[in-house]
Formats: sequence, C-alpha cells, structure tokens
Amino acid sequence: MEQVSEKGRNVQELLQRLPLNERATIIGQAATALAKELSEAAPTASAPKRAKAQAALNQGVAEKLISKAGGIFLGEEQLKELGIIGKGAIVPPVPQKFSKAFLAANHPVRGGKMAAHIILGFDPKTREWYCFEKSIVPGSLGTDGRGLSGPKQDDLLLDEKRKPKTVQGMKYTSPTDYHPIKSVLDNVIKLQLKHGVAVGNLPFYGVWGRTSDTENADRGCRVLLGLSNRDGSVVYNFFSAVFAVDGVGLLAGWN
Amino acid sequence: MQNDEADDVTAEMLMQQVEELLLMDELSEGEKSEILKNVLSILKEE
Repeated sequence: MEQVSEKGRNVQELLQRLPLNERATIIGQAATALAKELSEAAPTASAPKRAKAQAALNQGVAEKLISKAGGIFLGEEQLKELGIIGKGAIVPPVPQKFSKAFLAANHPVRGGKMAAHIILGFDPKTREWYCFEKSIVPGSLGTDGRGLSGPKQDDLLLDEKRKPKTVQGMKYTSPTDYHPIKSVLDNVIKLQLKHGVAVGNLPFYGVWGRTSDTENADRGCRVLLGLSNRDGSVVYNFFSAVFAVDGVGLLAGWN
Repeated sequence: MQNDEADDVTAEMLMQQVEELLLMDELSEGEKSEILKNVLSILKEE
C-alpha cells in the first residue's frame, strides 16, 4: 500500500473540498507538470533507466485499462504459478513467423495506437497457433472503430460470410473452427479467474476477459492485447481495441 | 525479433509515449498522474 505523507493527506483533503471540475483541472495540471518534469529528466537518464521507465509507463497504462475492462493483471511469477507461462504452460510461445507477420499486418495509428488486422489464436487441442484475418472472426470489433483502416468495423460485423483471405505463410482457419480456442478461456475459468486474466511477459502478452456490457456478451469474451518486449515490458497496447470474439481470441506477438 | 536499436529507448521516444498518455481519453487525469509519478521516480532513482 502506498504511503501517503501528512502533506499529501492535506493536499488530498483540500482537493476533496473543491468542486469536481476544479479538482479535475488541478489534477490535470499535475499530470502536465509531471510530464514537463519528465521531459527534463529523460535526456539525462541512462538508457537502461529510460527503458525501465518506458516499461513502467506501458505497464501502468495496461494495468489500469485491464482493470477497467474487468481483467486482472498478473505478474510473471503469478502466471508461472498458474501454469500459463513457463514449463508446461497452457499456451506455448507464438511462432516467430506469426509474430513477424502480426507486426507487419498491425500497425500503429493515430497517437501510437494499434489497429489489429490479423489475430493469432491458439488451439489447445492441437497446441498450434493459428492466424486469422481479423475480419473473419465473427463479432470482432473495435470499441469505437478509431484507427482502423479498410472497411469500417460495422461492415465487418455484418459480413460473417466473407471468405477468409490467406495470409502468406500462415495457416488460417474459418470462423467455425475458432471454437476450440474457447477451451483456453475455459482453462482460465477453471483457474477461478472469474473476470479475466492478463497474460503478460515472455513471449506474448494478452488479456482475456468476459464481456458483460455489450451485445456480444452472450457470444464470448473480450480480448485486449498488447505486444511485449522480450523482457515482458509492453511495447504496444491495443488501447482502443476491445475485441469481442466468438469463443476466445488471443492476440499475440512481440517485436 | 528485436534488434539492438529497438532496445534503445531514447528520451524522444519516451516523451512521445508520455504525450500519448496525456492525450488518452480512457484514463482519468488522476490515473495519468499516478503513472507519470511512477515513471518519473524510476528516471530519478539513484
């Protein structure tokens, strides 16, 4: 638990007395002031410190977004204990050719956010990774459709009969073959992680969580995802992309 | 996979991400401050 100094408590009390809009303004100014301070500290900091700071920034954002989405962010040790990563893990590493293609097909857009065009899925029966073009996954959508190129997500949602395109060098499958992947989620549920699980760290990073507030709630779950560095730090988060898929989807990759 | 260049986080890269964070609608200003405070403490740690 974070230690709050007496001075800090006094500031908090003062803030509480202010009307909400004024409080927000002050807090907003605090964020800006911190960013300014960061811009002064960053150039003089060592490269490893900057890397650590970047990882902390990404993870901080991921944790908060995951939490808001009803997920739970788990650290590497917890994931190992649960058998999600490490020896005997439920999901093996993503093949390199997939992760490369994933990065090639998914690109940062608008403010560094990523738009996903292909999805990697893991079939626990065959223990193989599959590659999907995102548009063939029924019910896949972005939260707000921002930053997505090509057809609008609404169009894709209605186009479930669309034939999957071959992604070069990839194995792909049809939406109906997607269901086995649900057992990945079942495994997660068996682990009594009722609201989702974040799979972070090497060599992939992903989050599963059930929907409760969308029209897709009866069809499956949500998937949030980012890409991680080899050290597990998050490179990109699909901040705006919440994918509801039929069964469970897993987006994964690393750079 | 990563290369050495990608491993090197420049101050500009870091600040770009900070700016992106500030522009994010999904997080409150308080949450952004909390994250930035942590990042700053890492940069300043001895």
